[in-house]
Amino acid sequence: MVGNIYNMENLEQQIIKKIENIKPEARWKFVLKNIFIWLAAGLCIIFSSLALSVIIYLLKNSDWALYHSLAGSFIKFLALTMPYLWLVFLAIFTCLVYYNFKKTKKGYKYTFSIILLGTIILNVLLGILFYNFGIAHSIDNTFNEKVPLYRKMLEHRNQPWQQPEKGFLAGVIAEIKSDEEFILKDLRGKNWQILHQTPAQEMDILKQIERVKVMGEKINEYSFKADQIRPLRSMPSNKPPLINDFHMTGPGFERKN
Amino acid sequence: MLNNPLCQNKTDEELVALTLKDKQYFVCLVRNYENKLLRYIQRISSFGPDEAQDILQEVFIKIYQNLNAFDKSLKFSSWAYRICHNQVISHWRKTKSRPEVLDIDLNQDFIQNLAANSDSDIEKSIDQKKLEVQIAKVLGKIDLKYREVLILKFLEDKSYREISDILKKPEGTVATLINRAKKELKKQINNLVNPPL
Repeated sequence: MVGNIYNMENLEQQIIKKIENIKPEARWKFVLKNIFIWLAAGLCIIFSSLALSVIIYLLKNSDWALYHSLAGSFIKFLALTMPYLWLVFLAIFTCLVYYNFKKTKKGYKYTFSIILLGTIILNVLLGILFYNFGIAHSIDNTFNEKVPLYRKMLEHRNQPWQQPEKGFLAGVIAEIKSDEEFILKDLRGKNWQILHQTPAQEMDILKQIERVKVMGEKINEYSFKADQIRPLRSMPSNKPPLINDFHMTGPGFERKN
Repeated sequence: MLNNPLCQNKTDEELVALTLKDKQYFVCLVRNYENKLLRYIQRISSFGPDEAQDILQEVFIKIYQNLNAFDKSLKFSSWAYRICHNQVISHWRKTKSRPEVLDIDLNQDFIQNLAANSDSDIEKSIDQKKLEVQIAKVLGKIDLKYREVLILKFLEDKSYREISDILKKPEGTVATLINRAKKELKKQINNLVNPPL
């Protein structure tokens, strides 16, 4: 037997001698470590749910009714408007939830699929909750206003609106000339004279917003007649639309069934 | 020392609690586990006696240092084996050595356990003595993840729950690993008995 081959008594003495000068780690350190792991897992759940709520918000506010006119096919429209940045955040934080949960005391008892399913259920519940509280809208707006890189990374979502020939134009209002005319700097930096007939009571709202999308008709290389104007970023669901809503009429606006 | 009145009639869990108050009691835990853990180290690794004893010392020091982290919902033996497993892996990483062929001491129980738990006809295929030699040879060659579950299940006689607690894997994964390990073992034995042309 092993015990007979090796000098176990000697080994015992060595161990006892070694532990003479050391003390077991304090319990509070392990308790604190566990709290940190759970806290990290909880924070990651919250972050991934926030990412999901912004995805819901951005997808809900995509122009689904116009997908055919804007992109030609549903798949192409989906590919153009998918908020990839937030999908990457969602994936990263979901992985971190899994990693942290596995590090908890009992985390090893659960399989990958069970942890993933639990995370998805929590994400969906919290994501819908955050969306309904308007948190997703605030996040998107704050990032949009304060982080130029974020704006640039989600710019692809507005690309379908850079088609003046089809009657779609988007950009920044550079100057309001009169109640019937303003200058729009489009997504490629070109200036357009936009002619419109916005009711007087809605002009005040128009003056407050910077970025708009316009549906109408291209008159020439520099002028565009607007039938509809709406903010480039949608308002939260509990607020009324800024400008008159789209009627889906006129050239290029027909809905494909 | 086993007859030491300090250690008598006390469970491992009681000894852990007592050690936290008085380190003298730790000797009882060392006594209860030194042979089992040393044998386990040698079964899963290719370390020689001196190196295995060094690892064992480190294992007991880790156990002592982390006594306050011992989760009472686990068996102390599972926790000790887990620390031992981690220490062996960590030692491998440090020395960057990986065993190729091991000299595993098999006993009759192992063969009987394995045969009883196997849906294969391992035992019938070759005679008992020859089988013992073949299994020992093959066990040393198969992947650590398979070798370890086979050793824990059939040599250390651990339950699925205990193996799950030792290796920190879900019980379902342990069951799958054991099944795959048995298949791998059978394949390797067949290759050894009837080498491919």
